[in-house]
Amino acid sequence: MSSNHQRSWIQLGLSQLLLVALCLIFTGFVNTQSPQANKNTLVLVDNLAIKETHSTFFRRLQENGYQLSFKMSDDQALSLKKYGVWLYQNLIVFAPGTDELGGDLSPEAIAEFVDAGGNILAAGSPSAGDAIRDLAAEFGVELDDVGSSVIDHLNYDARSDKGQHTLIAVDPKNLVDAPIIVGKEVQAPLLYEGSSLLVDPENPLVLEVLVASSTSYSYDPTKPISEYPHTVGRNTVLIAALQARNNARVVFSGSLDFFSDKFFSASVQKQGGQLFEKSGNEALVRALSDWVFKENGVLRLSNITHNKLGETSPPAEYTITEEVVYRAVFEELKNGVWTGYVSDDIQLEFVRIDPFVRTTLKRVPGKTGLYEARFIVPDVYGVFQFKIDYHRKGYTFVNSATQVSVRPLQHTQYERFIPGAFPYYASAFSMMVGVCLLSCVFLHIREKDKSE
Amino acid sequence: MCFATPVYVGLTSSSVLSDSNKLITVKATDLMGRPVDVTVMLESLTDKNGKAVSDIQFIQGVQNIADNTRFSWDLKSKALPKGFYKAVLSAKSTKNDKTLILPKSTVELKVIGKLGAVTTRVGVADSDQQSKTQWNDLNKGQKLPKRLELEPAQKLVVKIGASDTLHQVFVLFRNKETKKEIALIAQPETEGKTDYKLELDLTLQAKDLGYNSGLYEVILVLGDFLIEDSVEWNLGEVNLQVASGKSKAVNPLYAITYGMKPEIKHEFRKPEPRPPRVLSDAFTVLALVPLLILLILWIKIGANIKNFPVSLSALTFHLGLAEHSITTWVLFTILALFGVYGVFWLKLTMFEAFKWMTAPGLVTFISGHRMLSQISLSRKG
Repeated sequence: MSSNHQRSWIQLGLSQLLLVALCLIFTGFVNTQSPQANKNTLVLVDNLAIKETHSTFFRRLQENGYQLSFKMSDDQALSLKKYGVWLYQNLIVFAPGTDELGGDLSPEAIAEFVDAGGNILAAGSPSAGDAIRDLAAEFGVELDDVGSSVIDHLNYDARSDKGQHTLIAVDPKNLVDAPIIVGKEVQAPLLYEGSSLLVDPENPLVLEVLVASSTSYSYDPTKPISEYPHTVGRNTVLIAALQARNNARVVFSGSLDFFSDKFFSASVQKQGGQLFEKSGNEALVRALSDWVFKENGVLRLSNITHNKLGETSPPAEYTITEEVVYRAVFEELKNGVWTGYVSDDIQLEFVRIDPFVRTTLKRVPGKTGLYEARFIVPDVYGVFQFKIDYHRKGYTFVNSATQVSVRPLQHTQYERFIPGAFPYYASAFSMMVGVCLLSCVFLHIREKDKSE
Repeated sequence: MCFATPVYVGLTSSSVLSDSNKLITVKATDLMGRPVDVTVMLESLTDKNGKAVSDIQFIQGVQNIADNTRFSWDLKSKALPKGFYKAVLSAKSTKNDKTLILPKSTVELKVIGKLGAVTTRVGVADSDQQSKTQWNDLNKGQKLPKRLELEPAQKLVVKIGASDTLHQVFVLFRNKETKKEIALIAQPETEGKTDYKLELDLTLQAKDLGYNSGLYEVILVLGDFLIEDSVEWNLGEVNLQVASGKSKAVNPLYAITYGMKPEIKHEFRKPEPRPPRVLSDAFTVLALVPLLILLILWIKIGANIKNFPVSLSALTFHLGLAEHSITTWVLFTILALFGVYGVFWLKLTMFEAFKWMTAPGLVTFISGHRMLSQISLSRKG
């Protein structure tokens, strides 16, 4: 491309030159905005009315530059990949009633999509079909049986509940303590009507974004309780999020209505409680969708350098007890631009199987995003790694390991004279002097009787 | 010819009827929301089992004066047990207008009430049923007078006597320290009755408690669809000594810990302690003393070096290659070797010292050999 430009450079007139320059500027612009290009989104619905009932949600995505492709969930032509290239970066599954997704969208194919870095937002309902259940199971979340809903006799919405106490008003206190996922604007209770999620305790990647209150449980409201419910109390997860080790993000909600225009604009009032004109749903969904589609909480680490104090280039190897300076640049993606990340909790480890040193990186004043740590190499030699494992709820995992070797002191690097050894030196030198004197006397002695 | 106008009758008031509010209001309009000339009748009210409420049959709705599309009934005087009901409403044209289509409509109503008297008995029993259970009887809202102490061989029994069937009779154990909650479900003691019972055996159910002993708050949650004052009732504290065991731990290799980890500072090895300076100095002197003694003794027995060439010319003569200068060469090279040794001690490395030593070493070897053979020859001679 650029060689083409260069070849034709001379032949072009001024106006064409300008045009080419404009083209170059334009291509540059697109490149810096490349995160904006990752907005192809497949929306699977099981009935096209969802497009209307959830219009606020979809409109906001479109306003933010997302290209939404609405497809029926059982469309036989569905495919996430064509000729080995991923067609979409994001997938929204708002098709709780589907028993089997059409086309190539098996749970395995969706897992592969996540392995390739794709993001998923999915919602279920008390009548969720097998497709959404299998998808949930793939990410360590289990939906309750068909017909069961989250019930809370103490925290239902007194104004709109149909009598089953399944339209519950969840206190924003029950949100996960991670403002990067849930935002800071959720003040009003959240309206939720749907299925409960059981999170696999052995899956360390799943986060419980929203849980129900202690008095809630999940059961079929038309039947008396005869067995232990799917979830009880704070184990009742309403919205779960997962960030895979490759930083792909998945959000699961047990309620499709949670995202609906009706719930966005509904007022909330608990039995005998304060009236809120507008539920917190819209604020939460806004933060959640920004998070799941990687508009928020994306970090990167670059320009890692390490050297001995006072030097500028890294040595071939460190010697024990030397002072070392480690520097790295931390950046956060904000509105498509990488800007310096500000935090005082980034830690550096110096690891040989186990960490020998763990220290907090300090910001270098005057330079955005540049962090520094200084420490003394331990008096243990071997192959070490400078390790950064930055795991904070909501932020992408930042992992880095730089390997260096640490050797013991050379024989010339030890202390040369020890006062304690002076007797040994003295005896050695007195021996030498003695040998000199003895040989001198032995060779040059003039014996008395001979001379006489 | 007139067009037929369907009439829509729908509920405008809450579908929930409580003791304080038993007013049903409906709106009867055409599909465009315009008023029509009808009256509305509450034909019947049937409960969940299909049984009609006997004193509600064809009651004429009271038309609202301000808004003539609204009709209401106040069922305050009717005895309605708690439950779900279906009300059948029918509209009737006042002027016998044949163009109106008047379907019957069914609305769902729920009658709720207060949670009646509830008594709770909390007791501590032995697992082997040896001794009698000690009961604490509590009325609604009351707390245990003192903290209950339980040992692994005991069990906590909670019995709840309610006046209604309740959907939710849960006992929550909230660990005071970790704030973790464990919910257990009280089951009806006898089928179809409203007394519930929960037993927590501290040995058999230790796993449910995560093998965590300690202080727990006991919270009774009573809830139902038909109760307007579902309650979260704190019964008080219990100290549970749970049978020991180990809950399944997550493999630390796969676990992810969020947040900062504790800082680690490497502890450097301390150098070995050294003897005091005075001691080593004293021993240095001691090591030098034999040389001094040697010199004194030599002087005493009259050792000398009178054969040593004194003048500079004699010295240069001695450094020739003649036989008689050999002894001087030997002495000089020995001095040179020891000099190198001394310098090696001070600053050279071993390999550098080897290099420095080759020349004087070679000379010492040759001249020393010749000297010694000369001496042995002269002795023989």
